[in-house]
Amino acid sequence: MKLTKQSRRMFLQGVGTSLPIPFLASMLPRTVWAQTAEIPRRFISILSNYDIGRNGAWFPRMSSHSMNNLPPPSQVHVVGGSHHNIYHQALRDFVPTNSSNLSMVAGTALSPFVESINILRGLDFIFRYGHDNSQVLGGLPSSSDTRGKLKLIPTIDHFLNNHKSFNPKGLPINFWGPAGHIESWSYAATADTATKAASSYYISGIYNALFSNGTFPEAGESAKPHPKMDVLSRVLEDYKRVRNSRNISSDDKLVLDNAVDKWSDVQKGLLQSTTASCKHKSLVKMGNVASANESAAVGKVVADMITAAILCDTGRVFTIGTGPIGGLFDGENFEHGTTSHQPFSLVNGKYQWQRMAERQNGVIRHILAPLVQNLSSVIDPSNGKSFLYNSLIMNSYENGQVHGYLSHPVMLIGNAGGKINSGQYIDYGDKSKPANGADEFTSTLGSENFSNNYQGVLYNRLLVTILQAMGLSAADYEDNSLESQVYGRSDLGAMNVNLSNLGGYGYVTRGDLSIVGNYTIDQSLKKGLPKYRLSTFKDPLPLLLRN
Amino acid sequence: MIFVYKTGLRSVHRGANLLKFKKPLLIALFIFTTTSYQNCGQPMKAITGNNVSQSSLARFEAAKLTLEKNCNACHSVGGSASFLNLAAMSELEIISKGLIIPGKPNESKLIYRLHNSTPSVYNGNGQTSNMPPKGPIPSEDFLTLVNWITMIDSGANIPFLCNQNEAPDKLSATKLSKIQYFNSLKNFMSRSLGDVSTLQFLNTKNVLNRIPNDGGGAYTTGDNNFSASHSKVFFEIAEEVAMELTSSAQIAKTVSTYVGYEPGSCTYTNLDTLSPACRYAFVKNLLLRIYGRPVEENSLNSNNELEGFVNEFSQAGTTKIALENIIFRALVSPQFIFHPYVDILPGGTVTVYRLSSYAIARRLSLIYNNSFPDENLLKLAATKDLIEESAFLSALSYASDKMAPSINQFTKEWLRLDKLPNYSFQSHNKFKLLTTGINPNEELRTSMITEVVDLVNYIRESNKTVKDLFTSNISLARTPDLMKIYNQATPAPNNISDTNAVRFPAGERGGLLTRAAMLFTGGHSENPIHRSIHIRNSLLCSKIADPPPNLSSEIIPPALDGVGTTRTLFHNKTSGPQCISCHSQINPIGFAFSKYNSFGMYQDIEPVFNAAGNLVNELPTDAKVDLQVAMGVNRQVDGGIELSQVLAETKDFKSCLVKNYYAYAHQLPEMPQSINSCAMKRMYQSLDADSSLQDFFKSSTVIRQFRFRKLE
Repeated sequence: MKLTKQSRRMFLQGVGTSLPIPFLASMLPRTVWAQTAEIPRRFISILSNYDIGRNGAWFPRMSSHSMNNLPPPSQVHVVGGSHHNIYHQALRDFVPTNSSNLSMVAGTALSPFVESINILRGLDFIFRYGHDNSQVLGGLPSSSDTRGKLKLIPTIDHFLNNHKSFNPKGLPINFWGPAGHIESWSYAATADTATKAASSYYISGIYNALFSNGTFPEAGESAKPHPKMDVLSRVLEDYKRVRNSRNISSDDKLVLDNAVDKWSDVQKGLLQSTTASCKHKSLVKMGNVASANESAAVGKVVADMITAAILCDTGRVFTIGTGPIGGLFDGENFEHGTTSHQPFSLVNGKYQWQRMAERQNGVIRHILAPLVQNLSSVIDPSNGKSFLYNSLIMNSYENGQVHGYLSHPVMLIGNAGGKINSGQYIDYGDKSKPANGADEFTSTLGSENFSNNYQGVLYNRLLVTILQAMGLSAADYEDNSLESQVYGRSDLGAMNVNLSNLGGYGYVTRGDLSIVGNYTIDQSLKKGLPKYRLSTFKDPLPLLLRN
Repeated sequence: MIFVYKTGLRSVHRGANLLKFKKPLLIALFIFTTTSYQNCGQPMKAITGNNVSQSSLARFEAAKLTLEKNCNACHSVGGSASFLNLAAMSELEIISKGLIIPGKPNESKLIYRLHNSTPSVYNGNGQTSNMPPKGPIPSEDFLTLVNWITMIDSGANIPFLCNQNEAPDKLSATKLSKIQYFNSLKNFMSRSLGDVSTLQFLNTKNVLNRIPNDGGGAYTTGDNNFSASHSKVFFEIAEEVAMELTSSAQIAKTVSTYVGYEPGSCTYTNLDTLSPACRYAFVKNLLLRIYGRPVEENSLNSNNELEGFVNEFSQAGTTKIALENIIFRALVSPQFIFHPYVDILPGGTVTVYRLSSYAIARRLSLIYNNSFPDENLLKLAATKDLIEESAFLSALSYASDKMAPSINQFTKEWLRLDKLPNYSFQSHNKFKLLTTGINPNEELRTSMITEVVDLVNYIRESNKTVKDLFTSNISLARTPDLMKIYNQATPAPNNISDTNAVRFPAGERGGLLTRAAMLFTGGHSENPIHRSIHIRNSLLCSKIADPPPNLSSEIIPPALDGVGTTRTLFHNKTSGPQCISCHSQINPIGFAFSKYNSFGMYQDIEPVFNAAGNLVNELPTDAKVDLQVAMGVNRQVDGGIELSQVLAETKDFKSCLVKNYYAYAHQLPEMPQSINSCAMKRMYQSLDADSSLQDFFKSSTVIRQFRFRKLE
């Protein structure tokens, strides 16, 4: 985390500097913090409706590698048992400087924060993607086919928000998105009547919902300084004394000067805990969420507003969808069939997938990066860590590669209060199981364009991982009362064995053959599903959760 | 004169390979060297006396500018003579290629070629022998080059120089590498927590994975970048460790351990009321172990470190918080993270200081043990003056006896074992054929890496030499799949001796370069280009420039055609005029390993597959190559065993190994550019004298200059 003085000042001007958070339990002295059972966590999903793209654009690459030869992570994590080994590598290896590109989609905006980021590769859906958008949060594959026919379960954002251990105050969930799709990312409106929701297309609507139409009280008491503030002052003195020693060379002085700068930054970060505020009235009411990918100014307001809501503790779950959905795309009418389904067609000298990646990059630059910057610069007194450390941000996109279900890219940011390890590029693909041509994208567009594609692990395990990272246990979310047959079929032999005891989360065994369509049967069931170890369905992903 | 002739002959041989000189050149050079610049036209005294006050680096920089100015048009990437990229070569490379002879411009081929009136007598095609073709270079440029060559130390034909009696190599404050930080932290905690609880704590906190990775330099040890990630993570870890050691379960043990090392007049019954004597004892004993030196009390630097830390007791509300703050503060201190060598004493020249005994112990321990000194080394530093030869050798012997983990790390990085390719093309029929009876899984890849690491350790521990490393026919394979690859019936014993060793079948395999990890490509086909580039980069320090952008599509390996062997396919692919200038230097090294398939199995006969993936033929393999162009050695070899033997004898290899280990052990940010290093000269001499590998590793520190520090 590197903040310039100017950027810190600007943030504090925007979010407020004078009033402390008035009501957080975490403001108690440190010895009392340790006695509190759980650190308040936040779950934020920022999901791009820039529809279909190319998964490879989300993965880190060395500069000399082409799209067709993405460098895989090089370190091996031996999982043991019958599970295949997992390859991973520090993201910093791919991003040697803060001006290096993290990926085509992420660009450089998140590079200073890679130690707080995980990029996941090799997470496979077994359903074909539909256009319900909610699938990446555990929703149904296709709203038109399934809604009203399958038993509904909430997406994980709703599940978290409704769970008292995660959201003890019962704060409303906040989801914002393009007109007509506001709630589609987090399927709820019809099924989840219990949830109090603040939803809007316009920022003003969100603002009013979050802050009681601007009447939210701002008052409070002084915050306690971080326990190590004073000690760090003496550490800095230690550095300066050694730096000024006559036994130090000019090279040594440079090394120690740089270290003093870095320790000063840490101390300034600790200092934030005495000035962070939930002041929100200075926020400008402007624009809508969808336009945030076009406008840095709008994106910054969204980021600041989420930050203020977290500091004021008016929300624990934020779900943001942003994208054109039938609107303009790069000055042209967005048409799914020609734009998304033809990723290798050229428009103005660029492939369609490249143009979509650029728009996805806009979401990251304008909303996600300022949000990460904000949250990393403010210390949560509940444990002396940054709010970013105590939160989990999920970034992904709608439909993968032309509805292909393999290796859906996901970026996680933050440490969920210390429950998530970060800084890794993790590939869950099984290197012994090449899967080129196993989904619609690679089979219809040429598998030669997609080398390094392997069968991975079930995407549902990410949902389980997130739920556990946010403090829930398996007993909180597992439901064994649903169907005990894959798609309701009784003719699948061993595949159905013990399914009723799977637990886990999401739609793996639930459904009816007649309503999921032949495509799913052909592409997912026949080719994909038998290869997966359904017994791992309820297991969190390796490497992510901290003991 | 005869000696001069022989020296010139050897050098010309090497240079001739690059410049495609033929036999007549030797005659010409003989005539030339005996007549000594008959046609030069430059007065030698004036030449050698020019710019004598310049530093060696400045002279070389001036020479490089001259070469760039006059030679780059052809001798650069993309030029007509790109095979000899003069401007990109280091001084050492220019020397080792035989282009110049240090101290002897009149016997240096470079000067000979620049002499503008010698008629062509060797190429037989009517071209002039002089360079550059467009005409003579300016006389001042000529003088610059002659001056540069004249001033290079020509002693002993060693490619490293040690010009001054007591000129220590640079010794700067260096950030602890990831492994040094982890080991030092672990060893510190173990003192009071014990090994088991310490490891449990470090695992639970995921400490190793949280420490930012090193990278960016020649070796991970040389990454001196202290980033915001480091300060953030080191802050968190120091806080967690301090809290753990002062937790209610551990605080009593922590205090008793550190006070107990040297309690002085301290006695206590209640932790809440530690007496001043106990407070001083705790701080002194703790900091000795975290700093690796005694804490300063009445400092030469006006820095009473001891008092500053003891004051924590009066500033904190409780003894517990004071102890926590002291441990935290020490673990983020510059003395721990950067361990600057401020503990120096007068004793050299005006600008050269003796390192204290503790500084010497600290330096040895960080190099050989990747950690701060342990109790025994601290005791040695406390009781002996390590500047003295016998005491120093005792400390060196103690530290270097435990160098195995450090050398293991070096081996992995030097040979890029961590970059061993992953499996690919597993569905190809050839892959399936090659892996019949073996399991292409992670265990196999790991066992390949382990075997090479074990080989280096075996050679080192059994007092064998580097030459042995490149010729040994002893197998270290211990897993069934790797044994299958080696056609080996029994696993290597744990304690290998000359009598119980498992040896490879005669003529099949010998030396480091024929081990599976050095040959494995991950896929169905071997890649002689990658094999060669690996050897050139890691073992010869001779990098070939990347192909120009317009040829980037050509780097895809040739497709199987059902007709030729892998060697033939690659030969055909790289024979074009755009490729051959570089590939003539690359291919022979890779082709010498044609008798090993992509998993490193020995093959006299190679299965030949067509483009459809069907086995259509079997052809004999050919591993005969001429090393003249590729390695500057006038030798033809047949296979990897012979190539290994030749390579281990070359000056290029020896100087490359010296530079690699020196960069790793001394935490250089990049591979050494200067040849001026007493340590590297000593290391080279150790290799040249066929010393044991163990002694070679020790030779980087054994020189007296290691115990001194130059302070500008």
